[in-house]
Amino acid sequence: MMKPVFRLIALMSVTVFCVYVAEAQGFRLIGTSQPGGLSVSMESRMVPLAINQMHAWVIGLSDSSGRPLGNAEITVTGGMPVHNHGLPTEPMVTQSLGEGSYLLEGMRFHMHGLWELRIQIMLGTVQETVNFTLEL
Amino acid sequence: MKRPKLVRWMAVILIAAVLGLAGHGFWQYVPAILPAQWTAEEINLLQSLSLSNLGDLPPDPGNRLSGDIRAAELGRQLFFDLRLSGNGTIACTTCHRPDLHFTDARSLGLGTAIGDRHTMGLIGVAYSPWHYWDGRKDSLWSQALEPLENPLEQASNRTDLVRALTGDSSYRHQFEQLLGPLPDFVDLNRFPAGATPLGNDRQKQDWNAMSAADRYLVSQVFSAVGKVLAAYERQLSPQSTPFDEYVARLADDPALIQESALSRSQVAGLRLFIGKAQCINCHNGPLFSNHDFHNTGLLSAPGMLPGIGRAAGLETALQDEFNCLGQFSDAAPQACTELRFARHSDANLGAMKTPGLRNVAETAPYMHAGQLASLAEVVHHYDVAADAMVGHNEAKPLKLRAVERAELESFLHALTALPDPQSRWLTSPARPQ
Repeated sequence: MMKPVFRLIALMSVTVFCVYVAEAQGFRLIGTSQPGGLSVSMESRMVPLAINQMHAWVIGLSDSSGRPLGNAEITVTGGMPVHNHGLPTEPMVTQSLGEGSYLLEGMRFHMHGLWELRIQIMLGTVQETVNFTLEL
Repeated sequence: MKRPKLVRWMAVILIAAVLGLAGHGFWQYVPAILPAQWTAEEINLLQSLSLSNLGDLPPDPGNRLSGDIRAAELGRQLFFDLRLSGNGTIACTTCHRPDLHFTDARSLGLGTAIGDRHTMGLIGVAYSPWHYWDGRKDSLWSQALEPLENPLEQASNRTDLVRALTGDSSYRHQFEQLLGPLPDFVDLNRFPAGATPLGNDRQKQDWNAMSAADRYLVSQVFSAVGKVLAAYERQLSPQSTPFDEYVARLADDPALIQESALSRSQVAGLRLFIGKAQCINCHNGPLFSNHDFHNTGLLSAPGMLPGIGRAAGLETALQDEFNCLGQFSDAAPQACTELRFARHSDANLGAMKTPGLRNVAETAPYMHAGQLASLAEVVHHYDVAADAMVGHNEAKPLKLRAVERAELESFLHALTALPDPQSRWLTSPARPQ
């Protein structure tokens, strides 16, 4: 088992292309998937984003030329690398909102600190992944 | 010549031992020097714990009566009514005593018999999505139903309870104001005495012998009892503490020590709480609880098996006829997000609910079976963080110094609030005629 600090360093090296923007209206995460270079965004529907409350996010997905991808199967996992635990809930994408947007329900963060989110995208038989980090 | 040399060496060893002991004592018991000011990041954390950031009560979609003041008034009457128990001697308030912040000062609850869990307080309880130490209830109204039929608590049963409440003219009138006309439950052939799906074999047999329609009628009124009790419990609001007064002044003056509500030792303890001692990881938010479930390696109470906690509680909640998705819930299925997205994980094994810490110094003993008698024992428990008997202890040893353990305990005394003397929700109502 990799020590938490090394896991954190490894995670940050993977997420070098991912940034989060803590805007007044909430959190927006932007990243590029591997290996296919898809554009992935996540925006919190809870404004402002707070701990201990169930809430939803909208995931946006498009290919490298900006065309929305509406037929993906997306799973989201995550946790706190420093504490070595997962999310306190099992969030799920419950519907496609059209134009490459997907509704992710069942998100909750129950501690302050650095969280990681792992987004796994299946397009047919092709698997893409992108990791985000956010500080609460 | 040899003797003076030996004496000299013995003197050196003695002086070293004395200096070592003195150094150890100094290290263990001398308080650290505090910085002059809180950092901006620390102030954000402190404000996140303040009562001023509590916010509105969350909605309870399964209970359409939750915001109805008439339901709260009726719930208040039922909360104090001994007739809600099978033998007429146990009310909700027997274990949830208003004069003890709605706890009972016992290790294990005592209703008609000794239970297997420590009584949790009720101040601010409506902010939590899950209830009981093991999270086996996904709403406050559903939680309020279980003690009524639990043979160790109020030991009543569904048919007798519904018959008694609808046979009381005042209660019947109040329930009908909320629910519309109620059926009559006096026919003992249709509604046998003592029938309940949770009782002994005879009681279950009698319950199952009733028609499905009659069982539904009884359970519908029964569920409304839980809903009005929950409406009452939503009125039990936390009050401001010395800690809240301290935080209120930080925006103007970020100095650690002020002429203020907290002593120097308490301020040092607060700094540990949000820092080295890591208490804030789970005891966060204005109620000092993340309302989640954690395994912290507690020993079981004497004579009891270790509790498997949330691992069993979640399965019970999913099967519960009174859960958010059940036929007696007022929620649309998509509103039942707690059940739909609950985590099924090995981390649930041995995990118990994080209790809030407001009034913690006045609500001993502690933990799910009242295993720890004092706050000093609680702090020591987290300082050591021994391996768990069941599952995995999430906590890590803190290696606090003796003075730090005392400071942390001292801070916890700053979370005590005086009950609101004006609040009518803390006293038994006069029975309406």
